[in-house]
Amino acid sequence: MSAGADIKQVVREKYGQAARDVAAGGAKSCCGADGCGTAGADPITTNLYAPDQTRGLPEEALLISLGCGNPTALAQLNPGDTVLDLGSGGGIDVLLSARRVGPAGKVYGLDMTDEMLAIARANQRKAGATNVEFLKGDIEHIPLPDASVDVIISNCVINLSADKRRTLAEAFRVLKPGGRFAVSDVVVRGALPDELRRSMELWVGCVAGALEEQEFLGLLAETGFEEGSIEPTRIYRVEDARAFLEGAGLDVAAIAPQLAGRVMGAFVRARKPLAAAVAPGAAAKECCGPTCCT
Amino acid sequence: MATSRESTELQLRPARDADRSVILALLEAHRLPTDGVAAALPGFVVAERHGRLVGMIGLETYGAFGLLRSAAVDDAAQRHGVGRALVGRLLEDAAARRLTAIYLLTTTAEGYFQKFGFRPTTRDAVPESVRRSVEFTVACPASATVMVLRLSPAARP
Repeated sequence: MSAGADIKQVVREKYGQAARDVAAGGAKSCCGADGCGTAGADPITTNLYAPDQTRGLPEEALLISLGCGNPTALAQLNPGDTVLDLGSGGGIDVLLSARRVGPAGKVYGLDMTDEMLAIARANQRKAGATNVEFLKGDIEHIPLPDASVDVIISNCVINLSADKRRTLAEAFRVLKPGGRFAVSDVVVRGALPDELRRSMELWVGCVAGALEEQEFLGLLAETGFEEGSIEPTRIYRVEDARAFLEGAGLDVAAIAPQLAGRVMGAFVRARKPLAAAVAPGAAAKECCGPTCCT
Repeated sequence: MATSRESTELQLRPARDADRSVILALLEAHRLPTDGVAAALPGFVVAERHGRLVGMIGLETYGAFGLLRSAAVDDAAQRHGVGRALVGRLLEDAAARRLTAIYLLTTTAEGYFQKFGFRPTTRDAVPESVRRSVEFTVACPASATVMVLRLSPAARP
């Protein structure tokens, strides 16, 4: 099994378990030394949504939120927009977006986990949202056509992707020219010693993979996006990670100065240029066998 | 000016957001999948006769490949060349976009599309991006016939 397939499988199992825990009335965090469902008041996933924003939404949608931001509040969504949520989980960001785009708009939630899709669809029924569709698939292979979406949102999922270049290329492909990429994700600022980076990522991202800030901006630009920006929304405190890091055998007092202010939940924004016709390369070079590319 | 009765009556135009509910109703009437229609709408063309929407067709693009979907004509308007006009327009659009092949899934219209040059193929021979589309993954039964029309490079500018 390749490293990418391995990560995908781990993510699928972990988030499937989180979905089953919530369905059974359990806890919500996917982070922490014991895996999903252990933390009481996780500093990453708690208090992201204002009460007046979530009023009227099923409690299950809020309880199962495993995000690290509130992309719907930060993204500019207009009535009539078509929105795609990469890694929609229990569906809270989809349902919030659905209110913003109104009946003339449409919000797609994409998730690869059957358990999460089932919960999201149940939440959709409870919320009575008709302008919503949940789709099964990978964020590295979005099941929608080129130039079909106005805004892409995502809440702490890009960091889980084993192939971020491919994920961003797919996001670029499905966005309409002028379309907006507006996602929350965990981002690391500056280079961290490898061991420390791995420990912090395991804590914040559940599975290692948060991009370094400049690396993220570089990838966006290489993909063809313009106006890339990364804005910190919540900088994690070393103190928040103390128990986890000590559990991993690290001397927290010694490493605290290296970590301070370096790991954050951030809002990442970029735009597909109006002039962009098709994704550069990716799909056009795709081959499907010995007979069809010759 | 000599124009046929059909061309004076039938208007083809790109679909608008306001057409969505009529399109969905027509799809449901023909038992065709409605999954992903909102996202695919920018690639839809509708046929109107006397101001009434009587048919449509959708072209989804995945890089160099096209996926024909949602071809339907209102029962009352059938056998008047509406479908032929819609498929013709789609093939023009595909050529203008320099697509190299168009794929489709059908359970009922294999013979119809053969007239336009589509030929049956296997799912394995379909490019991954198209095979991962909503139409292939959730909307259509595994038993549906897969067809392909390869667009001749010589026909492209």
